[in-house]
Amino acid sequence: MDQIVVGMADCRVADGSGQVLTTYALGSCIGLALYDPQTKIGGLLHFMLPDSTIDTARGKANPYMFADTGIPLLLEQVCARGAAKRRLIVRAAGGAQMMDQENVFEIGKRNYLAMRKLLWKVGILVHAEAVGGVRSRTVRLDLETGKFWLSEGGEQKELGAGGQRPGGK
Amino acid sequence: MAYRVLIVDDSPAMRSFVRRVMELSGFDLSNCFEAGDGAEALRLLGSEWVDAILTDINMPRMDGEELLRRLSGDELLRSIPAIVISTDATSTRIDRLTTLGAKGYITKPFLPEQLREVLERTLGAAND
Amino acid sequence: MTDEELLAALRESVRQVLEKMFFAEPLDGGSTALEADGLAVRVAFDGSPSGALVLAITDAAARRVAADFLGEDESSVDSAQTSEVICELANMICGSILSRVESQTIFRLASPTILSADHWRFHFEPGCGRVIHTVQLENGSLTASAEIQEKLCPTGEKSGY
Repeated sequence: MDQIVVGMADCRVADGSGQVLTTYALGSCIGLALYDPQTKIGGLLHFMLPDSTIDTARGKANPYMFADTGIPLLLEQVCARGAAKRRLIVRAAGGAQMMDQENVFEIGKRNYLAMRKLLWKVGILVHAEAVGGVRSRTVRLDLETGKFWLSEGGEQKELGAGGQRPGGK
Repeated sequence: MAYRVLIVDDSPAMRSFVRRVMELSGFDLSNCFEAGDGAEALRLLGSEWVDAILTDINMPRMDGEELLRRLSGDELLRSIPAIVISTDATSTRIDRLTTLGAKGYITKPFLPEQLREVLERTLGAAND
Repeated sequence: MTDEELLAALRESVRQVLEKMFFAEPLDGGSTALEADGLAVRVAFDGSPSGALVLAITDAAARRVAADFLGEDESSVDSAQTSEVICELANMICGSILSRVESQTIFRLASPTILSADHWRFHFEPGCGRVIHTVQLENGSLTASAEIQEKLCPTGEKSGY
């Protein structure tokens, strides 16, 4: 198994069997995974903030940090590799309320809304999500099987296997 | 098989939203019809066959409840599954509509994925 | 229903509708939408009780909300489409409020109507049975007023005009 680690404000696209895309410590950040089951091409984005317009210089320097710049790039890269947009299976995890107990900044929720807005705009619907709450998450996208594994609170489960449909949060 | 769907809502904005959800769910939009109220829907159904009807409730001239009543009273039209999309989430309303033959119910506001799920459950996965 | 309960229903409905279908995160408070150019829509409802929701939104916020709802860029959304989206926003907020109101009747919502500038400010004057709530959006504000009239009604069910 060839594990490719996606860091914070990072994005990786891969194809080929035996490859697994992983990202850790999704607190208020969101991990967004796109996967084409026919070509086995997939991508995983770990973004931290909703909107690059507050810091356009940083948005240009590191577009993966923000939902509005990172998500279109993830889609573009996955499709450039040969995935078909209409076949993509989309899963997301994160957006928790982490550091701020009074929810003054609500970054997690803002990240989630920004992601939803972008996905609607670029024309993709979500298949499964595990968002909100207060716990950090780790996710893995297995490119051979297309399975999306979620670790939360010491437990691991598969996301998108008949549960966790959007709207359930 | 390409599914034919009729969207009935007096809001052009909501009809656009529903069309977009259908498009992103893989439905062929050339088989997607629209009507602004129940009366217009019945007129359209006089000349076009559809595989499903998505209807709002509160509409001028003829509302969604009356449309369902007319559909269930017609030998041919009663076999078309009707899904209601409405702001009214009370159990009183939902019970009435189920009695009138509604096969699914979505409360506004809703996520696009919720509509996709109901469409897939009613029609099967979209044509490609 | 008390004014406090109506206000709570209005706040929660505005938040829920804007978040779920418009992907906006409204922040409570701030300057009202009445102080700048904008659009106002009224949705009357009939039942037990009857009343109306009036929603005012500043121009830039309305265009952004419309573009986000339709999944388009702001530059490709015209004023007719913006009005249609805001009418639907008002319709959904009104419906959401009513689903939180305890009632034996089934409410009937009228089609949303756009108010002319001369007429809308009246709906935001404080009064008995009327509650007002303002939220800040990304580039503007939205002010909503919900009013119920306690009156005796027939069953309120109609099967069409």
